[in-house]
Amino acid sequence: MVYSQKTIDMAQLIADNCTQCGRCMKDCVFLQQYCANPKELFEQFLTSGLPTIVPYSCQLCGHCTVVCPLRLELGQAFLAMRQDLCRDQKKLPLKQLRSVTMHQRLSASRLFSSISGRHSR
Amino acid sequence: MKYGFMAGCSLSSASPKNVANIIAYLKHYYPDLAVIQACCGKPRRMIGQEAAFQKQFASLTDMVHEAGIDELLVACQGCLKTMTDQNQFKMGSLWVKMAELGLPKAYLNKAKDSQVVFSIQDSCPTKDRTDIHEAVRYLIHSLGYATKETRLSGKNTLCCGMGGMCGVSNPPLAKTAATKRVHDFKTDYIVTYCASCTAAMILGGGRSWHLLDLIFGDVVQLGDTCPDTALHHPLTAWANRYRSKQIVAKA
Ligand code: SF4
Ligand code: SF4
Repeated sequence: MVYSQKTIDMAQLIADNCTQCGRCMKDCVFLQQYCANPKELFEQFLTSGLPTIVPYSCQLCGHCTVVCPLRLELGQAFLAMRQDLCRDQKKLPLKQLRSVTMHQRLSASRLFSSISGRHSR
Repeated sequence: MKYGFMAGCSLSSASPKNVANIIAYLKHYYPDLAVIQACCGKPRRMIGQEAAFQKQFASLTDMVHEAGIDELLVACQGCLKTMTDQNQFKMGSLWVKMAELGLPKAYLNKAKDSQVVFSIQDSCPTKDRTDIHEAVRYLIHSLGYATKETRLSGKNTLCCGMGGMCGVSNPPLAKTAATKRVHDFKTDYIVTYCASCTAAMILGGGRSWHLLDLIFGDVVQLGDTCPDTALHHPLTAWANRYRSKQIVAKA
């Protein structure tokens, strides 16, 4: 996988600046499961890469940014990784994501969409 | 000012009855209310398919314009956050609007004799929306329920476990997060204002109700267990979604 410069820059910013203070680790079960601290996790991303399940396990909730003294945006970095991983439109990065795309196709279909109370013009 | 209403996918799939209840409530104040059932496309954005998301959101924007809506009231915080970021039309939180309009007299203080103390699972996409946090608490207190706050509420809220499509990509982790969330609360009774959050709290072993269940449903008494959620039963969820669509079409 060749990641975009934007994603690499976002990861680098975290790897360079995270002080390993652990504030974000306290309540995030995702970080607790996959790393000792974000600095190590993003260094690993930059050197050897991460298994696809890692960026797809972040809940993108932004709690880490709220508690981080440097307001580092871990969620945004994982989202950027996901966008890169989706660049090949023919193949989903994880097979379980097929249910999301199916769900979305149905959601967008006429069967499940409607408008009422339009302005009569 | 022409108002519109959109329930969002999870509420439509969880409870057509509450979709109907809200439409009736809003029509009382805004007889020419327009109602939309559609998806904002956020799941596509979350999995990284930004172009497909933009396409879906554009079709929602067309629907809002086609309906002649000046301000769209939204029950789902995921939709609200997405619409705020996209900034294509004016939108507002259903909860803030309800707090402004007030609850029907029959519902005021209906739970004043209940001993239940609710913890509140604040939705994470709107963690910076203090107005929504306040409106939700105002509504719960207007019903007569007591609430208890925790360290992780309001702007410090945590995800219920389903955020970022984690529930699909990594179900065991989503369940761990949901269970942690349930244990964080100091009371056994949890109210949410997102149907996915309600389902997550139940998955995590909690007793959880959606705010609309508290408003339009029976008073919850100490010892009561919560009803099952359709969101854990895909076929029922899609059947509900179809019923919600029929309710919307007839509104
Ligand atoms: S955005 Fe991701 S890393 Fe940050 S607190 Fe939420 S789940 Fe954890
Ligand atoms: S809170 Fe910020 S600085 Fe502290 S460990 Fe987390 S990312 Fe690093």
